[in-house]
Amino acid sequence: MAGYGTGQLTAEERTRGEFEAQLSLWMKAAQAGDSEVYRELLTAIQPKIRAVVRSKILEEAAAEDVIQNALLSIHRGRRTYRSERPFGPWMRAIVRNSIIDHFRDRKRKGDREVEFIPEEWADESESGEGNAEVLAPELGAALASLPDKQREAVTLIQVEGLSVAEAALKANVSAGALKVRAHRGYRALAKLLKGARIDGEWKSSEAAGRASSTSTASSTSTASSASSTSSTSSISSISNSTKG
Amino acid sequence: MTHSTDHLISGLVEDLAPVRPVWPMRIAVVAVLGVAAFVAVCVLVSQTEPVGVKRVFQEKVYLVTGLGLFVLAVSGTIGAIASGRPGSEQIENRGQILGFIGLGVAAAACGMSMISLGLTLSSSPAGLDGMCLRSALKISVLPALVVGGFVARGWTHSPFRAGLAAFVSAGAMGGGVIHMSCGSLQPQHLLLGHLAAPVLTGLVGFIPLGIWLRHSHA
Repeated sequence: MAGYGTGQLTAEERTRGEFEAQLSLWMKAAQAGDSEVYRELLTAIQPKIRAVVRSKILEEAAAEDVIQNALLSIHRGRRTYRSERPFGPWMRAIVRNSIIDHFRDRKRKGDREVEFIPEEWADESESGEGNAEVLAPELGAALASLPDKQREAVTLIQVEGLSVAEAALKANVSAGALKVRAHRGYRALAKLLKGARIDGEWKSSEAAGRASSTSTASSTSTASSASSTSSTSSISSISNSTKG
Repeated sequence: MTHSTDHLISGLVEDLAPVRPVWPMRIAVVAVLGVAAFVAVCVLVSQTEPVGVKRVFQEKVYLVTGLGLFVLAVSGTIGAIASGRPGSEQIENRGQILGFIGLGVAAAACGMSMISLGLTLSSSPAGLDGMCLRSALKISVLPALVVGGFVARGWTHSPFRAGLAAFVSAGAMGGGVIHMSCGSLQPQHLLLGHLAAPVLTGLVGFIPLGIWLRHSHA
């Protein structure tokens, strides 16, 4: 790390050209596997990515998703960077593509989005408060019946509360592929759980006679990231279409 | 920086493994075309008489078809490889557009030639179209693997377009080699036996490659 002069550099301190040269050096080191330099690089470019993304996407949660997807793409596509070329245009192309993906995605989804509220996933009767790790029996069974890949995607996003990019990194697929899997999973769940809730209560908890007392739905706190908010809204689309 | 993004960066850093940067684009393109040239030489040398090469300047339609396949092979390859390099979108677009113009011009030349002959010709001997097409497809396999490999090593934002460009250009290489070795000057044969190769390889190959690229890239 020392050899790359990390730590003291900020965009303001150096001219743009020097900064670019430094980023290029860092990326070269990252390609060689230097993780400390890689962290410096990602931390240094993150505000730049944020500035570009926020100039196009106003909604904070959506912008956060796009920033994370761009970082993931930079990570996955890092071998396509050639150090003899400037780093900026390479990075900006990836960020631009992430922004385009976001708008394409939004256009494609349109108003097919459905209501699938993560808070409803918790079996409140078990703990007295919302807890995403304790799923209602109906939901647990429905989740278990999903194909492995869909279950993994749904669990990573909704149960573990990871953002799409984090989940994609963990599942070792692209963010787009993970979103498709999760979307299919939500749709399958919505179908499987049709009629499983009466007046907002799971049938199983009603049968146990302890349903109505715990109507205060506290948040499924594991899903804390800003980006999971937008994932949630994408889930929502499925239920509406099934209802409609 | 949000907590989530910070967490993601930590995950990315943990996931870091050394990678070998992709080859420079020029070298990759030369490598693909070199493989195609090698295959072409092998096929032509194995023939007792490469009749196609001798007839290149005898018929305009033959020359135009050959040039169309050549343009499609070269610019399609450039377009396919550029599609895997972020920041090379302009080269990608130009390469792919030029390639499809080459294919279009060659197909139009064959079509016009067929019309001028009154469409009444009993074209080529039975089975010749299929024979040339099959040979072209077989020859395309090696270039398709090489160009597909370069695309897969890249990072494409348009997986299906990249897959289409890769397979169409590989098909054009196969069609081009057959074009040089085949003696038939019938426009209908050129269209169905030679020019159909890139179209067919593109149609067959782009979906599997596109799905794979989408799964791992964009």
